[in-house]
Amino acid sequence: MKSKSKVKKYLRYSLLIVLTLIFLLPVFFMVISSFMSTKEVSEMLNFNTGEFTSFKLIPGDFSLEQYYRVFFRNPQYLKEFWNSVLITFPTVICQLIVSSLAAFAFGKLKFPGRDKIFFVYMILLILPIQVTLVPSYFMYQKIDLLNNVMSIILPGTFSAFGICLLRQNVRYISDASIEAARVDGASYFKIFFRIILPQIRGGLISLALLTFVDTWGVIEQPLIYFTDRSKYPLSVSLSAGSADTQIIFACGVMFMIPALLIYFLGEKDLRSSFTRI
Amino acid sequence: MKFEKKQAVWAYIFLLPSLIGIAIFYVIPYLMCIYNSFMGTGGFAGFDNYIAIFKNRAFLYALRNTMIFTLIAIPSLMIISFLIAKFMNSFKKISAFFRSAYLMPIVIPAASLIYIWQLLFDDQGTINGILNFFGIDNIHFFSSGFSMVMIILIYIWKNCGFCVILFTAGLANLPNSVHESAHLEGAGGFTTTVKITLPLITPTTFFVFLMALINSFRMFRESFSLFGTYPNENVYFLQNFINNNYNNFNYSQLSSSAIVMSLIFIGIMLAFFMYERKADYME
Amino acid sequence: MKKIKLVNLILACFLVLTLLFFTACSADSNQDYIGNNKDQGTDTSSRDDRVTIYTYVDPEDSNQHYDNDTMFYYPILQMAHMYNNYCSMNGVGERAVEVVKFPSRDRMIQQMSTEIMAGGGPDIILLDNELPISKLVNQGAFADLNTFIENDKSENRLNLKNYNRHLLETGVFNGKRYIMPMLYRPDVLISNTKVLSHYKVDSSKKLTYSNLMESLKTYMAQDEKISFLEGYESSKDLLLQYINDNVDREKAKTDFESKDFKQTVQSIKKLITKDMEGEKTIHSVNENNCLFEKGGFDSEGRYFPINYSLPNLQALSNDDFSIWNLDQDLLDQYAQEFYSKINPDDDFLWEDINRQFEQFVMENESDNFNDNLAMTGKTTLMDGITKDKNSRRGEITCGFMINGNSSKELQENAYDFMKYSLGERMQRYVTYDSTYSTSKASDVPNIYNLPVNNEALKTSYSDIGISEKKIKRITKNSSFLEKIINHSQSLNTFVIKDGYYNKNVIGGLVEDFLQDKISLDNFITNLKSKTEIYLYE
Repeated sequence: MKSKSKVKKYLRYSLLIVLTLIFLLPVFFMVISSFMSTKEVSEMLNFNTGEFTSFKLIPGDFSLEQYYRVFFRNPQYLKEFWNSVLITFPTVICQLIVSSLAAFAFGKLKFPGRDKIFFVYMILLILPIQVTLVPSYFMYQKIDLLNNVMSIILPGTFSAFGICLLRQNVRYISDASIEAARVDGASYFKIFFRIILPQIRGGLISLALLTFVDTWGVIEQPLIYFTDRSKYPLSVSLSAGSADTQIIFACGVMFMIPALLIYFLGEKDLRSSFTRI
Repeated sequence: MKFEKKQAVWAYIFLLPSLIGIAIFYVIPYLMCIYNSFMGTGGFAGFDNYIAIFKNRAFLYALRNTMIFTLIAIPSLMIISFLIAKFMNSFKKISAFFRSAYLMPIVIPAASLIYIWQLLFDDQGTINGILNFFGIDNIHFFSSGFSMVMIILIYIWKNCGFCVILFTAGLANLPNSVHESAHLEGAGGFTTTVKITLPLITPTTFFVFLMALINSFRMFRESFSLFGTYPNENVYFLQNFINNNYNNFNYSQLSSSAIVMSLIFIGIMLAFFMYERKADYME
Repeated sequence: MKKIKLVNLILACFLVLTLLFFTACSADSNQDYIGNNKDQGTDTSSRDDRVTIYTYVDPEDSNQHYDNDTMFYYPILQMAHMYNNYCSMNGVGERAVEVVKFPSRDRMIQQMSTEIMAGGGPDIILLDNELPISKLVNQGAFADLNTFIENDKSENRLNLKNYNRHLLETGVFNGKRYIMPMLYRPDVLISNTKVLSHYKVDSSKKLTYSNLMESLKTYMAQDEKISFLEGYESSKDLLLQYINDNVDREKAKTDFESKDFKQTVQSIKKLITKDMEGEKTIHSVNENNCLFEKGGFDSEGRYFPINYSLPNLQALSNDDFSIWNLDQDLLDQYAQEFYSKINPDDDFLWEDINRQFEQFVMENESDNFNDNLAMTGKTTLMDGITKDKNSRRGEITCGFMINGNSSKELQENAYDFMKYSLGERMQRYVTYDSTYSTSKASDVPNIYNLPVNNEALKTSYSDIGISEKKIKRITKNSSFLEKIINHSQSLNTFVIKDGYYNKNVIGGLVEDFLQDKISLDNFITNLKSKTEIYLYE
């Protein structure tokens, strides 16, 4: 009886590890490949050898060649990285501000038409980007936003996604504390800053992370809205076809580092926020 | 009375930036799109554009594939992540490492992983290598019906972690007594899950569903990088259709198909919304 | 406590970055529209009253290279330049054509597509490989040119009889004339009699897809390092052409599943991949390492299509004796010998004397010349490969459409420009004269196509043939130049290449197939599904 439960325990743990490996391996492999020499990478990505490709978990010859090329030989990638930063960071910040304000209104305040407006938001949230891409183009042309990073930052800022996410968080805050503050004569702004914001910190961080990832990987909009190739973010040149295969993995690692940083910095808060949903 | 009015005014003040932004960047383009879907080259065209696209075989392919993808990928994603979440919750203590590992795929942008997928799924790729080892014929992931399988697998892999986290959180919030009492009454594990757990975590499920739906549009990025503008007919999605009509200058066809696409998704969401409402009342 | 500090730190970083961003933004905004392309912004008022053409090709940019893509633009830009001079000289400067230049082709096509969708766009749309012409025609994006031709009562009205009938018909869809071709090139394979006879290819026999393997039996059997065409570009085009020949665009049907198709695709692949080592291999008939030529390579190894300007065709005809091809020293010797006999005090015309000199040189050199010719072989041509053995194909390389969105007045003005460019003078100019490019930038290659205007071709041809008429020819057979001109007059099928289909829809697939990345069956299944989607769309 005891041995049976022990077997069961081992089985459960090995299943856990297998599952984890499935999620981790591709990522792990990308990091590994970034330390291969460019020659090894092109050999690996050659599908014409007649043999089946395999994943090398240890680079044949460890080298920093890819990183060297990204950082010193092709400054274009660094420039694009910077372009990505210019698009992403403002989007994240503005989205946090706009969404938390609106989420407070939707989550805790009563006003006529609240549910109807929220439903419209949800519908707008699930609109595929292709629906608004072309009309937006005409509009940006009229208000002179083409070829301007604002054409990506502004729609990102006002995406309804953050409102949906934060509203869930706001709703879990107890009404009593708000009520008490109001009885004390605190203004709504004070309530927002003193009570709401500290309690949805986890939600804010997860929103920051998700918005970051989304904007960081933007492809369609810059291709259509930007006239000037030098303004393209890194994600555009990393999308297959246009990228230099020899340094693709180093670029990929460079590309995911900012997202990982945010993730690790806010990891604790992040998990606590999800317990609220 | 006065207090409520004040609250409403303040609510609108808090909402104002968002309302303005949503109106300019989402509502107006959407209305423009609707307007254009009724216009042809020679002026007002009524429903002609809609009739035309439903006669267009490429559009029907795209519609079929998009529906297949939505109807298979989203439920599978939800079921798989629910099962993994239950599995994770069955451990009394679990290292944060495992939970972080599951979130990794969503942190990594689509573009970085394209080559990994190619290595895995190519005709000469690793998966085919393994299949070959067991004496199974090659699967052409890039040029047959398996392309859809491949896209669905990548979609699940990418979004599973996030949904697992959402579900574990939802499950962890359930009071233990619920399960115990059900157990005492002699209900089996499966019955408990379906009859008790699922209805209790409906809000979570709804949120997971919403995330899955939103992320299903984003799969187009992967599909686009893997298959290009003209993929094989099995992974030709509505997004491809719309995109190619943009390249073909066919604006009215583009608009009407975009509207059809949004209507479908609104319909799916509405159905789910009703379900959530109903569950709310049952509570 | 530590956690909060970290979060604060991140937020501080965010703030700093935002500040940086805004400063960067304001600094950037001045350079949004650089140089020539300032017109592509929102301000359309300045060019509302002027006919516009969009281009991404700049004849004055020596870095730009003349190839299959840019050849649609050079001639029209030259004509626009001439037309604008003509307008300003005649006091109708407001009719001048405004050329809007874009930094890249993608950009241009994208801007154009959005503008046309929004009900605007350039007034004159040039044929471009990447424009989905057939789709645009179906949507009625272009104006019917017949209405202008019929309404035109002026004395220089367009007489369509002066033009190649088959060629003009290519632009007519359902009775409406949407496309006006300007220039074309025949689909011919250029080779050398010696090479052909070595591989027992009968140059008088027409090559079709079905007799291809039979006719090239000896070539296929050889092991020498000699490829079929001069480079990868042309080879790929051959396969693409065959695929296009099996697509029925009107009925939205393909022939890809027939056994015949499969076999021919396989043999074409075998043919063109024979001794062709990837994209960088460069071959030429003159060096005896390829069987046929459809183009050549410049000093930097960049491909360009064969130059159909008459002077170049004459230079290619090595069976035409020209004293200018002789070695300079030898020519000096002859000159000394000949001119020393002439008494400068005599009464004569220099022109006659010069002709006598040519005659003199030719008589002395004729044996040498014939020997040489026998050794190197004559330049010759074979009709391009087609499905039907009676069809002789040509390709339209330059032409234009008038935007259906434009105002009546602008359309009329655009039509005037069209008339001007179809006139004999202009058509001769782009076939023969090269003053524009030499005066502007000497680096621009003078690569031309043949004109639609029959009269222009005839005049140019007789201009270049002046010396030949007056002196006896060495060889009795008709020269290469004559052959190619006659051939181009006999063409009966003209195509506008669907570059969008060839490149965006099936380009990658064909490439994969040629490089053995996918199997034949796989190739055909995918080809079918992609093509069908494209046709239905």
